[in-house]
Amino acid sequence: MITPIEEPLPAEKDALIRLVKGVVLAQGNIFIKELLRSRAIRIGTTKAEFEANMVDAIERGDLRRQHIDSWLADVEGWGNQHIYLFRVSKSVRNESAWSDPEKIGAKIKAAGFTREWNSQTSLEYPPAQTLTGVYFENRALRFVWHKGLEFWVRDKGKDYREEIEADTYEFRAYRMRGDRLVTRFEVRPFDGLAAAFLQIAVEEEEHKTALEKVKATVERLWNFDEFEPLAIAKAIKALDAQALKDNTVTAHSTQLNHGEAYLKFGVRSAQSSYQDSTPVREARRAVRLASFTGMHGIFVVPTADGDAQRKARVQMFGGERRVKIASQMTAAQVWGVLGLIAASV
Amino acid sequence: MTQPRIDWDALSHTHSAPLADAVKSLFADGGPFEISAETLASQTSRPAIEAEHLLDALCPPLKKVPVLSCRNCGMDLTDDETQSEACPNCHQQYAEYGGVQATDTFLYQEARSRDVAWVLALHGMNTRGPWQEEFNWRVSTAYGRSVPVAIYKYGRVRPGAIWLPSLHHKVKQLVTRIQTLNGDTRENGFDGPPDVIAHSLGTWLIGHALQWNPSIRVGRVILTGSILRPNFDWDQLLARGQVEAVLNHYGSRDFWAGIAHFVIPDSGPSGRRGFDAAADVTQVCAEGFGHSDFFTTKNLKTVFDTVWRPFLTGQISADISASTGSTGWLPWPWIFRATLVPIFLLVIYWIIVVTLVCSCFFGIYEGCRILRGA
Repeated sequence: MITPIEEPLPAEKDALIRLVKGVVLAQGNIFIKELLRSRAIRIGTTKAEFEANMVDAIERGDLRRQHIDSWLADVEGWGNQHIYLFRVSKSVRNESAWSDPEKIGAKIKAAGFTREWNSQTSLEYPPAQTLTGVYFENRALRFVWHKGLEFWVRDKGKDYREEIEADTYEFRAYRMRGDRLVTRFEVRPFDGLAAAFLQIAVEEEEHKTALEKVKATVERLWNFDEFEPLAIAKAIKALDAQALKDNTVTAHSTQLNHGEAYLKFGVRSAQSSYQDSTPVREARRAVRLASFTGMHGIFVVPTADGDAQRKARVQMFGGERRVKIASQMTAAQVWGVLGLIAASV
Repeated sequence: MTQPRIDWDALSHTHSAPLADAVKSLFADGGPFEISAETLASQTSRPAIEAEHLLDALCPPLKKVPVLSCRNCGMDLTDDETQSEACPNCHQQYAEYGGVQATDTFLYQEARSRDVAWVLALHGMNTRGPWQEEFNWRVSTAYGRSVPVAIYKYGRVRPGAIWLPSLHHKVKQLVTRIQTLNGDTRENGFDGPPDVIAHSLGTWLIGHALQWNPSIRVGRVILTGSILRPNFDWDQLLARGQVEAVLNHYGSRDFWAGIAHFVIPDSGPSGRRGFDAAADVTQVCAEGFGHSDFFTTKNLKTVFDTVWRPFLTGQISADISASTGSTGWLPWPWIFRATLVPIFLLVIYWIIVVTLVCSCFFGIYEGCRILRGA
């Protein structure tokens, strides 16, 4: 049966164009190119060209809401974030509801998330962190929060100077672009893993608040003690040792603590391994890992999802049991990296 | 893995000698490295621009590459991170500070040198291997860390060396010892199989231990005064991943290796003539060396520094590894090999033993008779 393609309504077009000028353009160039390529839309080389080509495609009806929704779910808020990784307890893993999406739906609704359950991807820019959706897809339960953000893009072309009361003033121009911070909590019962993903900078008090909010939300379904934080300190040591054995992981820097005393191995170039240097590697081999705690590590790891060329830098903080991924990635790539970390412990 | 040929004398004349020395030491350490002109210059009193000229002159084998960093916080960035609008560390937009900063660094790209996890030393027959202590000292002082050397002493072996069941027993003991040591080293963080240095009968024992027990794994094997058959099937052991690589350091005047196959079962003169060329074994001939000359105080340091250590760390030079094995080895007819000779020697041995026992018995008997008669 052939379904006739419906023309998008003018209101949908306007909403989509707003979305493109904000959230879509805020994503990494490689992902925007991928979206355009997948819809056979002319790509371009700069953000301005991407924007113009996408607006044209929306006007023609080649780029529709559902295309952007599925793309955003996979790209927005993945990477460039802080991650707290947990092991899921046996009792949660063994819940019968996981094998039946309807039972999961009922459980979520019973916890008071009727409005958020399977809601359409939010296009809003809420001023505070707001739970915008709860989904169970691909055997994973996902809570999604959004928070609107004013992102100021420097525009030197609009700078000017002005004489005011015999003094010269320089006015530097920034163009505001709507952006969003995404927070997620995802439970993967079949992998025995769960993770909280936060894009809010760790230095900000709001980061802590957001994490508490995540815990409070999840506790409406399960006691949060059912999610045991993964010992990132052990993973740092394991990945560093793995890097000594093979080239699957590159150890860029590793800090090992003995109490408050520590030693640190590292190399300058972001994608190099300190272990390439023979004398430094000899010094590292002189260290008995059992006596140390893996306090901090930066590793360059391959991203899964078939993109063998792409490598991502992952920072791991043993004391805070936190992982930071600096590059933007897709959901599958992020989970590929987390799987590697979890498997090392 | 070989070091690039660089005319350091010429470089020292055309550039600052201290700078040239500093770069030379980086190459000498082996493995890949990267260095900027500023870091190189900081080791001397010369300005960075001179260091840059020297590094430029060394391209190739060096390769000049840009290192990208954030102009605000100075953090070095991956290619991936430069695709974002803001620095992942300080969250400032690159455009705000005139884009990403690119500075030059110089890379020497090569496979990593190899690490020695721990070493197993096996002595020969009729000795308790005093060289092992000297070898242990060499290894202990060669690396910037502790490299355990397990000295395996199986005692003096004289008549037992010609008797196959006795050798089998020694092989079984060796296998058990390797398995025990493997567990101990793993527990203590010395991960990986041992590299092995074996001499004389020790080469026979390790070769046969590997053949008889496919679960035994070792790293690189150095053979000296080897009495294994020149057609010993190393390729099979290499293919099974039981052995990483083999170096046969043989002496052109090794008398004992030359005659071993007349008295020791399943042996041959590989310590005198090398293994057959077909075997994937690194062969190095020590001209004028006898059976135990590798271990004299005069020679041990030299052979360790110039041949064994480079072999173990994967940096053996092209000059050394160019040596090839001999053509196909033809063993003597079976009657001359360690077939009848051990039986003959064993018969003589027992005749002597029985004669001695009988002499004692008759001596005691005669003594008693004389005493009784008196």
